[in-house]
Amino acid sequence: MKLKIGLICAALVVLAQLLMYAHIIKATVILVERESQTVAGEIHSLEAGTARLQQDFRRLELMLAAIPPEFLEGVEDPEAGFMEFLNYINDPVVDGAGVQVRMRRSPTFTHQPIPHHESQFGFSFHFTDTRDAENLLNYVLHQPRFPVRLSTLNLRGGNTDEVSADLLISLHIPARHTHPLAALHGEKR
Amino acid sequence: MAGTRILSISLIDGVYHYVEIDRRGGVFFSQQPRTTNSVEALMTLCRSAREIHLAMAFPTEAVTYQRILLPKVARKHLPSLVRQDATEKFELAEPVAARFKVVKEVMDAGISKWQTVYCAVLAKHLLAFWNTFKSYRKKIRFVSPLPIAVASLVAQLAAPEENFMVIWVGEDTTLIIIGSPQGTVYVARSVPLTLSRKRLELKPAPPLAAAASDASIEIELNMEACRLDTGEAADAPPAWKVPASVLPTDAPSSDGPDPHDDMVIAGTFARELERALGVTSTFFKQEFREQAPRRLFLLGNPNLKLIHEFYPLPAAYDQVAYELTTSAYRGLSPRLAAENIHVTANLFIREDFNFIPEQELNIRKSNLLVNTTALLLLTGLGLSMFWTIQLHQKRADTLQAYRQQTIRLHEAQSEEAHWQAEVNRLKPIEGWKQFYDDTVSTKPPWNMFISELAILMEDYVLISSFQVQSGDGDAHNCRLQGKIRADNWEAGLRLFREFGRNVQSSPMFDVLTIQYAPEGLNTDPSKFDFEMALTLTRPGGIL
Repeated sequence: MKLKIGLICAALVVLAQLLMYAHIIKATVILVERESQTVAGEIHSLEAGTARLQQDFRRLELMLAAIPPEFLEGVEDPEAGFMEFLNYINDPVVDGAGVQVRMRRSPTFTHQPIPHHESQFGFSFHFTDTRDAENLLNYVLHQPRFPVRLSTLNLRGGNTDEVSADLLISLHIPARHTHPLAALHGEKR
Repeated sequence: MAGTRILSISLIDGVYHYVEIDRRGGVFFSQQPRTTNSVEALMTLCRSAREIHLAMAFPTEAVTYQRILLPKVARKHLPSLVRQDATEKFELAEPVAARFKVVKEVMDAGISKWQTVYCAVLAKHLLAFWNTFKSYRKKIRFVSPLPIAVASLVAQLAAPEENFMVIWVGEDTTLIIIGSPQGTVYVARSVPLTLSRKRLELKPAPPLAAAASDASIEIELNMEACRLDTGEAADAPPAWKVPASVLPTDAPSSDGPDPHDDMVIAGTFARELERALGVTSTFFKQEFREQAPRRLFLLGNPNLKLIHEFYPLPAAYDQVAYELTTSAYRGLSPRLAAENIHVTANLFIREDFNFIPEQELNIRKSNLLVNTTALLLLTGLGLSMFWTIQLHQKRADTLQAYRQQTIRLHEAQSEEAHWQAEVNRLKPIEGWKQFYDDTVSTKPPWNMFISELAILMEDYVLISSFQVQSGDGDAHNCRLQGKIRADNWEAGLRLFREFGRNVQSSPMFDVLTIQYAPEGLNTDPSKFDFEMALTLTRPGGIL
C-alpha cells in the first residue's frame, strides 16, 4: 500500500510537471502563432507594396521610352544652350520676316519639374500673309531641339490688312543630371 | 471465449463441499460437485479460480437470525444498533459480525420503526473460516452462512410468493430453513437426519410397524443434540437421530439391495423428517406469530420424491417441490441446482448478507480508492503525455511554419527593396516626362491655326485682336475680340451666332464663352462688339 501511495505521489509530481511543460509549450505555440499572423500581415503588405512598385516601374519605363535619349542628356553649361538657341533663331526665317527679338539676359533657375534654366524671349513682327506668321511660329515653337513654351501671343489688326504680332516665349535649358538619365535607355535595352 | 472460473465452497460439519463453475457471458457451466477434507487441495483450486464464494454451516451456538424493530434513526447508526442487539442475544462478551436488511417501516405503539432482519455470527468462528482462505482473500467475493445462501437461491429461482421451507438433506446432516420471499431467513436449523444418495428400491411392503419391529429399529431421542439455530436453546424442540444401523451404506451388499430394507429406511426417514418439520413449524409459529409455511422444497437427495410418494407428508404441506425452476436461469440444470444446492447456492448470496470482515472491506475500500486514484492518475498521465506530444509536434510545426514565414518575409522585403530601388532610379523620369510634354511633345498646331482662323472669318467679322495665353500641353486659352458688321443689333446677333457655330465646328477651337455687346451701347450702329473665349488645341483633342 505504501509503495502504491508513493507511486501515486510520484505520478502526481510527474503529472504536474507534464501539465506545466504542456502549458509552457502551449503558451509558446500561441505566441508563435500570433507572431506568425503578424508576419503574414507584413508579408501581405510587402507583396502589395511590391505589386504597386512594379506598376510604378512599368509606368516609369513607358515614360522613359517616350522621351528621346538625347533629350535626357541635359546641358552642362546653360550659357552654351542659350547661345545655341540664339544661333538657332539667327536664321533667315526669323531675320527675313523683319522680326524684332528681345531677350532677358539673366536666366532664372528652377527645380520644378526638373532643374532647368529659364530665359524669356520676345518676338515682334508684322505680317499680311498668314503663312509668314505660321512659318515663324513653326520655326520657333514647333522644333524638337529646344524646349520652349509659349507665354503669350497677341495678334492685333489695324485699319490695313497688316497684322502686328507680339510673341513671348520661354526657353528652358535642362541642367545635366549627376547620373545622366540617358544611360537608362541603354540599361533598358 | 474465456470465462470466469468460480469456486464455490461450503463447509458443512468439517467437510468442504465445493464445485467449480465457469461463467461465460452470464451463463454458468458447472462441473461435478465434490467433497474434501484437505485444505491444501482447496488451495490449489483457489489458485486457479478467479472468484471464490464461501458459505459455512456455522454451529448453532455461533449464529443467530433475528427479525427486530429498530428505532427510526439515521441508517448510518443502524449497524451499531444491530450489533448491540446481536451481542445481547448471544449473551457473550465476544465480538460479533452482523449483517442486516431493513424490510420496511412499521408503526409500533404509535412510533415509526424500522423492521429489520439480521444475521449475526460470532466473529471468532467467522474469522477462523475466513483465515483458512486468507491467502486468496482478494478473490473471495462472498462469505455467508449457508442457510442464507440457500434461502437466497430459492427466493431468486423459485420466486415463492409466501414464506417457504427448504429442507436440504445431506449425507451427513439435514438443513431446515424457513425463508421469506425476499430471501431472508427466519429460522435455520441443522438436524442429524441423513439419507444416502444411493437409489432406494421402494415397493409396497408389510405394514411399517411390523417391518420396524422386524428390523428392531430403535429411535433414540437425543435431547442434547436438539438445538435451534436461533440460539433459543431452552425452547428448542428435540432433534431426532437415526441409528447408524438403519442408515444405508454405499458399499453394495453381496446379496444386492434389499427392497425391504429400503422401505424401512424410507419410512424411518419420512417419520423423522415429519417430526423435525413439525418441531420447526411449531417454533416458527411461536416465535414469529405467523402461519407455518405450506410450501416445501425438498432438495439434496434424489430419493426424496420417491419417499414422499410412499410416505406422504401431512396435508399442511400442500405445496412440495423437489426441483427449482432453473431451466431458463443461467444455464443451471434443475437437478444440479436441487441436489447440490449446498454449493450452488453460494452463487446467489445477496450483498446485504455478505460477511466479508470489516477489516477486509476497509482494505478493499482503500485499495479501490488507491486503485481508482492510480487509474485516474494513469489516465491523466496518459492523456497529458498524449497532449504534450501533440503540443510538442504542434510547436515544431508552428515554429517550422514561422521560420518559413520569416524567410518569406525577408524575401518579400528584399523584393520590395529591389523594386523600390528600381522605382527610385527611374523616379526622375516623371519630372523629365512632364518637362518634355510641356516643352516639346505636346503643342498646338502653331503652323496652321492662323490659316484656320482666317478660313473661319466671314465678311461681316472684323477681328481686332487675337490673344493666346500660356497653357499646359497642347491646349492654350485664347481670347478673340472684334466687331460684327450688320444692319442692326438683332441681325448682328444672328450673324455672331452663325460665326460662333463656325468657330465651334473647327477641330482646332473650342468655344468657351461669348460676349455680345448689349443693344444701344455701340457708337457705330452698324458694328457690334463681341468677345469670344476659346481653347486652341491640337486637332483630335488632347493627346
